[in-house]
Amino acid sequence: MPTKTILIVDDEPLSIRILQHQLEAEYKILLAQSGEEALKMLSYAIPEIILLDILMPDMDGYALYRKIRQQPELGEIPILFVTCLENQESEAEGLALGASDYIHKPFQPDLVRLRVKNHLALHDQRKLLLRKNAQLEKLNIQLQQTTAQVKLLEGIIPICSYCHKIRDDQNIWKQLEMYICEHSDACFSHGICPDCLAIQRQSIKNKQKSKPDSM
Amino acid sequence: MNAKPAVASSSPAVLFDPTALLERLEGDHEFAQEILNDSVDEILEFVAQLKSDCASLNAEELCHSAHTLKGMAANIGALALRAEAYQIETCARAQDLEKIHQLLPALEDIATRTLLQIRGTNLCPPKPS
Repeated sequence: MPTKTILIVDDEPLSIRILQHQLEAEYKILLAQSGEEALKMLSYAIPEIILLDILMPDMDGYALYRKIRQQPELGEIPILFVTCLENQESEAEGLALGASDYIHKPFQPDLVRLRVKNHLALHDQRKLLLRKNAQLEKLNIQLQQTTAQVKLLEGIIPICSYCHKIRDDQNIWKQLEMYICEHSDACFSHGICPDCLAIQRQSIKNKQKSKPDSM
Repeated sequence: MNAKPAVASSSPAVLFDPTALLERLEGDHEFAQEILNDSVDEILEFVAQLKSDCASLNAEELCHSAHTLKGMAANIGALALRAEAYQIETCARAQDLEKIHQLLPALEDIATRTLLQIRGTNLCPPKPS
């Protein structure tokens, strides 16, 4: 069952039919016989690859190529120009423009399929690389943010010897937990340690003893 | 089925090579025959178009028509027609309309003989009775 779509753009009907015959077993085929028709088609269907005839009336293959590349959502689609074997001197122009490759008339079925297959595989790998790259960039930003936070807790931090408040960069004395919260992802839950618990209990007892009606 | 290429008397190139067309269509005889049948009208249209472009001295249109005929002829295996169309395309690019005037009768002649060859070709194997 074909899953990938190829758009073939050529004004010569027999060429289109021969190309379609060579590719339709493996791919879904969209056909356009002019640049305008191709652009209309691309407004609602995005193929995985485009085979584009160069010499067409009104809008030639190069002009259509430029229009396609101006559309960001179509910008990455591989485009293979279709040309006659005799016109190989014009290939430099297409390749310089950014075309992926050329397919020559008369169409050799094995070569046509291999070129299409190879460029689709390259395109898939490129998309995978771009996705991985985006993931890596995201991770890198997170890492940089984390590193920045860790760095803020480095170095010599002025702390009050008695109340343990910390003096920040703006010379403001802050509670220790507030300072750590502001300079890291750490949060605090409140509890009481056994030593402090013992002190508190003793303090409560002392207070009760000191009250005259506590007897 | 006529599978042997026919050679034009005045041209060293093969007029029509049905085996090349069949190879291109991977042995699909019926589809090859369909393409051949449709190519007849296309060749006639292109020749008429070339004559009209030449009469109106339109080198750009001549170039386009010759180029498209060349590609189509190459695909169906009409090798002599392809070679002739290529010559006209080259002259049209060079704006050499005088040369094209000289070349057109030869192209017409080759087209006529190619069409004769195509019309006499049956690529579909006989169905078992």
